[in-house]
Amino acid sequence: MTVTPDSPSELNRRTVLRRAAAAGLLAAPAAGILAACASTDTTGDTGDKGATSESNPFGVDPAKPVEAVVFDGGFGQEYAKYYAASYEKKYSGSKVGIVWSKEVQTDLQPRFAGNNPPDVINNSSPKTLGIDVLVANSQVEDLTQLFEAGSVDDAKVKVKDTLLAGVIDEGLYNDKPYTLNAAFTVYGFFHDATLFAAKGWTVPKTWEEFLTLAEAAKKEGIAAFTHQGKYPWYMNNVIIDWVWKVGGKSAVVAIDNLEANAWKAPAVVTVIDKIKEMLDKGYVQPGAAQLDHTTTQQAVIDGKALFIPCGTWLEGEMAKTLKPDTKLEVSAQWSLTASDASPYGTVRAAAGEGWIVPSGGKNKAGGLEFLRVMLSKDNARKFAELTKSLPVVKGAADGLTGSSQFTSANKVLAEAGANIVSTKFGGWYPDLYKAFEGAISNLMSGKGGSAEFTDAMQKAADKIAADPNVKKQKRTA
Amino acid sequence: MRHRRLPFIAGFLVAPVVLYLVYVIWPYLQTFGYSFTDWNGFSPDIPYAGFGNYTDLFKDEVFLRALFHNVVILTVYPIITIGIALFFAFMLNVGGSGKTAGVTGVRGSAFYKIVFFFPQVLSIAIVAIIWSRVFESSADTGLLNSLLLKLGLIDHDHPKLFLGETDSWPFKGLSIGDDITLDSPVVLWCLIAVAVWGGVGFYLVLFSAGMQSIPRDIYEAALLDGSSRVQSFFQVTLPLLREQISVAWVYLGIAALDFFLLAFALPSVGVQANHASEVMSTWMYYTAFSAGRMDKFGYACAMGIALALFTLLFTMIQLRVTRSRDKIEF
Repeated sequence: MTVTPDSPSELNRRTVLRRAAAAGLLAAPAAGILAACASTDTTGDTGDKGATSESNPFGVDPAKPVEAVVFDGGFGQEYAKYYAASYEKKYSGSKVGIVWSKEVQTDLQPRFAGNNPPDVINNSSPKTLGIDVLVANSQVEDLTQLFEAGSVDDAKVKVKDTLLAGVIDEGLYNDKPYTLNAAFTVYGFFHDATLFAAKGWTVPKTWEEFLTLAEAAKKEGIAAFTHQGKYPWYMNNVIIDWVWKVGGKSAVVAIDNLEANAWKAPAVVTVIDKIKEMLDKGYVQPGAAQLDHTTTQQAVIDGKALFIPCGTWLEGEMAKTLKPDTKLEVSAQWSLTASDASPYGTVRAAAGEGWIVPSGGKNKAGGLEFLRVMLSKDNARKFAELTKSLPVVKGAADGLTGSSQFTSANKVLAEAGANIVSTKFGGWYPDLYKAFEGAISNLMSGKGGSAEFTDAMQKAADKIAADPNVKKQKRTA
Repeated sequence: MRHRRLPFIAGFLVAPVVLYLVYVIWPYLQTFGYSFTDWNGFSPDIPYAGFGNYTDLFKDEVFLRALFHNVVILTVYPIITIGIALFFAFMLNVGGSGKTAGVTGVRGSAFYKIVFFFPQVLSIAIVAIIWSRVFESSADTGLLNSLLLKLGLIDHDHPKLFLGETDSWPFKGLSIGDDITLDSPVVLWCLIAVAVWGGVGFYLVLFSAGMQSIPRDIYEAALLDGSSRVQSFFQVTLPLLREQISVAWVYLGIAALDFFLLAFALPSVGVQANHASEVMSTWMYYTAFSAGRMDKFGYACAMGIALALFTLLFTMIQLRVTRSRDKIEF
């Protein structure tokens, strides 16, 4: 399995949990974070191209079968069978053969070594193929040709323009898209809509609204906020997302780039001050700093706490202990000040569940076309229906119901538009991330406020910046 | 037949000795070798660094803090464990009420022996789960916290953090320069408590065995001379258990200098990130193997060698101090 791009590899525990709980309800973000490496351009054809047309941009020859290797995991098999059927429908007489794999790398490494790869691969599962190696060996296609092609639904609109913001970026390696990520995970604050409806409460959009709600909840003995204290990773998301919200993207980019005093920026101070205020006013579940994820998530389900930061695997993870009327919904983190740089609705979302097209397949055009067909609105919608995960095609899941988490996530994502948070430093600098975990643990345990927090973080960041042994990376976008 | 003995013995020894050399001695030597390099753990080039890694150790504030934590554990863990184990062993073997004839343990001592030994057979994963429930920071679900709440020592909304408490106790953390802190956080005491709970059973059995080999007539003679239980403990038991206690001290000292499993398994991610529960072995592990960290393998090897030297040194001093000048035969 690959690692969530915006989180360091210590987070494998989470990813594993996501997989384990993947009983069909959650999206598994799994795009590789990829270090710089030698690149070889391999966009050249292998000469198997048939006649191209607007509806057949890659020159698919229907007589040639397509072999797709698909991860047999939490998403089930139905969705991929549906893709295959719609490909076969489009090209009468064609045949798509799906080979199921529990461990893609284990099954396919010998085939790459023998230069006999399939035509398209769902590079997911607990063991995925490393893109860096495939690129170095010129064994994988640059998908620019796919993204620049016209879409299935409207040949005038390019495929890249039908996708949600950030989807292509997430599959970049050496600035080239080799991976197409097909599912979205949305992060944010989760609450039980049933409880809110019963109490006549609404989800706050501003800090003031939150304070009012928190006070009302406190009177009823409910904590307004809780967090998976034993695992600071969740609050790491909350803090970074709020910094992006208050200070704009540049504030997070400055942190990622280890710029001087990035952690002392006013946006960071504001965010930490507000969190400290929540703690001091008693709005946070008592003892949450040392409780684990299931305990605190259950507190929200049991109505002991209102909001918890999480991602759209939550419903699946807690499936066994949900009450019959629990309706978990995700919403964006509320604004902290009246002058936040990024509008309300800014959320963290990440695309995962990657697909690749090997360069050495017998029917490369078929492989590319399979992905193009997969990105049609109809197929993307079917994916959402069958897997309860968000597809990466814009508007494909509109109007779908069935899961409160799914519906709300879809809505949140639509409202976010281009305001999608991403951060890099955690994956780039494990020591800095560890310091962040420590600082979060201190903050949430009531040891110090913004001064201590920003001092500790700035010191850790400066130490990394000055360390000649740490390879530095730069982020522009 | 005499001339066949050598090949016979050698035949038996070859396999284990080869295994020992390849899988124990050779890795030791490799670690020693790598500790003089800046090897990152997987690249083919291994730059030589001389004693650089060792001098870095003394500038590494986390290592120094971890070392101090080990010293705290080394100071209290063996003495508490031995104290409790001795007391229990005495009660189970010779502490029975004076009303019955002869020298016996308290009633039900066989049962207690099993109970006390029980933690020894639990895997560390189970120990971690049990104790994280005991220490849980909630007055509703945490065992200790709900107890404290019933006793009125805490209020419901401010449970004790225990394994998350990084404040130093009983003394304030000592700061040396800007970076170096020497402290003994509450979480460390919690870990020591768990270690004592887990260790007492074993030493109780060790001391029991020792006490059972002390002839009963010595105790009976003491009883006839009118000695109390306390007196017979200090005048008879303790001196005759010298060997066992010395061995226990060495074992416990080595365990205190290691202390990896508990410090690795119990404290939460955030507390570990704060190094409040850091010991030398966990810091070495993080430096060498932690995900995304693999750039300082040679440095971690130097930590390992330093840890091994500390342990050897401690053991030598310990054995020297407690070496009995005259052996009592009975």
